[in-house]
Amino acid sequence: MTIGYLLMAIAFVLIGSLIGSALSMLPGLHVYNVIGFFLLFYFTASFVLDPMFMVLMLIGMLVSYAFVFTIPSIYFSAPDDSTMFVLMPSLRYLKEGRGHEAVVLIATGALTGLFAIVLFVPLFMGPLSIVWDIVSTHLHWIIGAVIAYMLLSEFPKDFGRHKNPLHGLKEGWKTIMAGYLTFFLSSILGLITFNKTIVPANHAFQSLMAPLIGLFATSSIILNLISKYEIPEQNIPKSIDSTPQEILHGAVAGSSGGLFAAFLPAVTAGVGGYMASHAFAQKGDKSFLVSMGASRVVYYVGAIALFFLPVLHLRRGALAMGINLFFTPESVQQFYLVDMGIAIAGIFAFFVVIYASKFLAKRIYKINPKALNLIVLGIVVALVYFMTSWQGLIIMSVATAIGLIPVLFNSRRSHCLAVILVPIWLNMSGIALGGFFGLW
Amino acid sequence: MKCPSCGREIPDDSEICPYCTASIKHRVKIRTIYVIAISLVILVASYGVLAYYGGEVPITKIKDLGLTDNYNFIRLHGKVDGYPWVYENDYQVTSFRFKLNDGTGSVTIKVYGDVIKRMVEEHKIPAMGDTVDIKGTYMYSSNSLILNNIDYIEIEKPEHKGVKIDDIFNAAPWEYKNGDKVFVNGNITSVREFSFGFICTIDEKFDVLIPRAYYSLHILNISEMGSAYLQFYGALEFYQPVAPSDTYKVVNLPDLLSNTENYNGSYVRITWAKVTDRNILNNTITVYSNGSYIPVYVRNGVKYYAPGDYVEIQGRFINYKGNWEISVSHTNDFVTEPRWELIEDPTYKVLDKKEYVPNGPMKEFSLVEIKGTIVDYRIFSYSVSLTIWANNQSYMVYVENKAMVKNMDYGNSVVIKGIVTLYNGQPEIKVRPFTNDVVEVEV
Amino acid sequence: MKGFAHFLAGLTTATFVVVIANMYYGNNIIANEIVVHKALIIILGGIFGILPDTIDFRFAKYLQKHDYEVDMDEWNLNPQLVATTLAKAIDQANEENREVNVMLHTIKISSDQWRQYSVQFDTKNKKVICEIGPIISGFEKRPYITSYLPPEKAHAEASFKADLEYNYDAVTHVDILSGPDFSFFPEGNNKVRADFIPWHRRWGHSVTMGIMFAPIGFMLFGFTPLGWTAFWIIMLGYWSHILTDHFGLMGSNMFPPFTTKRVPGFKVTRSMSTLANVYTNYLDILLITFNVNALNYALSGKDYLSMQWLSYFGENISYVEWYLIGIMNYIVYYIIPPILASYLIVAWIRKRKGVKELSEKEARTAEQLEELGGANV
Repeated sequence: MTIGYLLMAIAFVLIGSLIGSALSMLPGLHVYNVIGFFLLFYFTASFVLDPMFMVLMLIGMLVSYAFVFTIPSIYFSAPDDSTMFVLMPSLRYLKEGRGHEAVVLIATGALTGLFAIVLFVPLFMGPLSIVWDIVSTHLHWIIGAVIAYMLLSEFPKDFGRHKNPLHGLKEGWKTIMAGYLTFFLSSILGLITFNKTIVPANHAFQSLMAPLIGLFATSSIILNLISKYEIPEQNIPKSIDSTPQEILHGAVAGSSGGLFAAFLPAVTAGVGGYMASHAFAQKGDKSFLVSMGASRVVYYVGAIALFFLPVLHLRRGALAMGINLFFTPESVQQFYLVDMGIAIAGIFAFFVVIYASKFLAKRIYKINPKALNLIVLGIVVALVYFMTSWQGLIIMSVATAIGLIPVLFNSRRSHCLAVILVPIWLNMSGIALGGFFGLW
Repeated sequence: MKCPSCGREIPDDSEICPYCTASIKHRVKIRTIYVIAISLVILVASYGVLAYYGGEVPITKIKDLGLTDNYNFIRLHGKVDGYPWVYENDYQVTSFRFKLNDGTGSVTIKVYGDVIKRMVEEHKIPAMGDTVDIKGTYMYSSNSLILNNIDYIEIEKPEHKGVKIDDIFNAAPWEYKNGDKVFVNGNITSVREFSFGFICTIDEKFDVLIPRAYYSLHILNISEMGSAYLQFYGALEFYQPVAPSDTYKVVNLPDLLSNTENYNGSYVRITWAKVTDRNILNNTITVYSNGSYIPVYVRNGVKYYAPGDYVEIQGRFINYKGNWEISVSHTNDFVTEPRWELIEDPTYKVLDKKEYVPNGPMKEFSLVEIKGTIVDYRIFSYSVSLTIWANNQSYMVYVENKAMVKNMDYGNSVVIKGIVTLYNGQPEIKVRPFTNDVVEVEV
Repeated sequence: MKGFAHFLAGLTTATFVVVIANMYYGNNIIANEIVVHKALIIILGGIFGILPDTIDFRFAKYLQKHDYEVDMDEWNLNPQLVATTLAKAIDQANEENREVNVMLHTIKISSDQWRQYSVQFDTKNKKVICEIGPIISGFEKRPYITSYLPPEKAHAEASFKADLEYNYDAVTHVDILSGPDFSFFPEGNNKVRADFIPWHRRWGHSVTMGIMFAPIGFMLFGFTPLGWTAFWIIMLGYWSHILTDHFGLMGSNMFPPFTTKRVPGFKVTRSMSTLANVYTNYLDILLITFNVNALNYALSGKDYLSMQWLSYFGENISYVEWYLIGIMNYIVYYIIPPILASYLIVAWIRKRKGVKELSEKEARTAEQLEELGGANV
């Protein structure tokens, strides 16, 4: 290793972070989709570029996404409280003119998550590999248990006003049933996508892209388009209303949830963070926001760190799978480089988030985000068409319809993740449900 | 005063903002978080330094490898055990493998695809007896290490010692050690193909094994080697045609003869003896070892063991008509001729390049090209023996591989390129496969 | 305990049952079913571990009949109405000798703002006290300080005649989502017993229900070794919920048709205490890991944890000995030290900061809120 190589590595991380930060500002666009696009491009140019530089650039993109995603999720999502039972903490902050404070809280959480990855994951390398050796033959029931918990832990949201037991059941079960319906439909969509997708064979490696964009991106863009916007003037504080204990609590909970999700296949940050917030008996908006930031960073970035971790080399998440197409992690040196890249991208992305938020907070009440949402809808549709052709658009519209159910009925959106969770779980437990749908 | 969170005007003495419920007293400065973020630079720097100084992997002992090392990136340091081998399809070598032994156990090293290509380009080719420092991914189930990058192997080649063929030919097993690195000078006079490689006899005496791995990767070019006086570099290996087994007890011949009653009827093994006499009529040879003589009854193939040969004997010690002898008659009994042979390294040196001389002199080990007419031929199971007429004299030609000859018939004219060797004192042209030697019959 | 802790406790119980069943049936029948044939039997423990709360909050809650419903809105706050209704219900229960239930509805202002009010029974002076509190925000329950009513408007009392027995003495806060209800049971001799959310921790949280659910194991797997294992997993998983709940203050009704009252809990911890939850979850996750390793060891002879104490006992120890020595060593090395260390640190910080332990009444008040709100989140 030469100084030149090291500097090149840092340069590529920064390039990646720059691209990632720019793209992550757009609501609804997921970095994995962009990375898929980049990989396509890379395979033709692989002889020019050292694969390690490409890896570092992709990591820069991922880390900055995990940080900067906060901006659109706070400033460009619909603060329309008329459709909701309970307000998400981030929306409450925005309504009170404290959008920047919420961003700082989430970014702080993300920062603690980053510390967890670059500082603690290497320390617990040995135990992690032992745990992985132990549980790797038991994943079928562990993931089954995650699914069971997701389904059983949703409690009715009603106000207790009912005329008779039947009416009460109907009121209370409305959100639950909407959640179960979402879960059921998403898992069928997932089964079809995994077993016999209609996406043409030469695009089939991106077959999950269309359903995921439909379930999460387009449905929320549509919600943003139909709901009314009244964003009050935002204040830019010099300090945030929180205590170190609250931040620590949120950080520990979020990091554990993210690590859980990064460690197990098919479990994602939403599910992991949700379970961790229960496991750590979390209360309060502040530690919730912190844990949200931490769990997302640990999930996305931790998956990559686990991929490069010398004794583990777990392949989790779309980026690790994508990198594995052209690169096999091997040496400790690469692990050090990757951790260095993660930390650099983290510092960069943290300040990008803070300053972008400061910039936006002053102007957000003047902007009409509907135009922005329309632009992003166009980009997303174009991307899906380019990557998966018109068949992908059909899948996307079906997925959008499913993704709108939890939005309209106030059930948990994480039920949409059944699209990945259920097919992988069924595959692991050796249950062949696809036969019911004539899939093979 | 203004609420530090929402910025609205609030009473001066309030502890909680009445509009946004934010606490005024217990707050964390954003500047503090900046400091924490910037403190990540320390981690960046330390990881950078670690990456710069290599992050050298510690050496693992092979006996310590276990299940928890599966897919682990480990470093081994040891000697190459035996010679490498390859797996190949019709087009290319798919995998190159060798065994590594560090004194505590052995592991198969596997090299695939582009890494093989780069291995040949950079000529970092492991050979038997080399000391190797290697890093790679360990696979527990197959007890193997996958070399992911050619930069992860460091090969240290020991110094080669020069020896003469006559010293090594018929040397006793204790005179050299397995894996001794030597070089010998000579000419290839015979090439035989096997699945593991090519056994080339040099100067009609000494066998050199060219591993197929080196041949398939075009590292050792037999056709070039066949037409030169060469320096062969390699590691010595004592080749025992039959592996020793536990049922035979290794004994010293004088011991055996002084404790005849103890050994009566037992299965014994004499590792090193010289044939002194041969009686074809009663299938017996007499051998000499450590100052004693003993007759050995050989049921099959006594004709192969001529006086002066060194042999290894495995048989039953019995009393036959009042004489003590070793009887080699059981299926597991044998008489073999173990020898030192050279496992060729991926290097050789051309000392003297030779050309085929048309109608050249029949000097031993010189290359000649003869154009003549077939006057006699015999086809054996592997080889062909020809007599041709040219330049008003007859030439004996021995083709080692019968596949080299086509359209053979009496009276056909033929072009022979080959090496001159002596057979029973008479010069003979030997046509070796895989070299530039040819037999071209013109119809 | 939070639902997640119950779920994990159920899973832990299931892994213990599975390991013991595997020893009992021999030949690794159960381990084979789980590892090789991918049986999902362990999940049953988690499902039935969380089921008691599911039954209560998803079904039993709606089956409760309300005799009175107090439903105020922000522009019509009337603490007197709340107090009088409750007092009336107590006396009515006594006079008419039947169960009378009062539902106290929450007051929603916007999607994120609720008006809080509290109810308290003064059994000595035979009074019901109602206080209207501030407007609070969302799940964090931060009060908007300007929203307090003047004391004379916020406070109301009403007296009742019967002797009220309320063994779960607490200040009940009514704030977000659906409110609590009280049932008053006549007990003769001018005595009335009050029950907070009477549908909760009654028949759903009982030993008997555990026994009733257990045969589902046979329905799933027949009378096979797996079926029997499932039987025990379901029963013990269900009981694990009741046991962990019983460490709190509220307790539950253990043997319903035969008993009708809740048995007070062991009062060891509050059900929503962060430390209690984190410690149980930590313990559960580590025990699950050990049991899974024990299953792997039985099946393939690979012991990844390889506890140190085992080496003192030589090579030839039986599986049961291996398990018992191993788990003791595991608990001493990995479970107790972190819990003890973190507990000491937290206790030290609390002492330095002067955080006081909650009195029993305050703890009950907090637990009530969490029982109502916590399960809803």
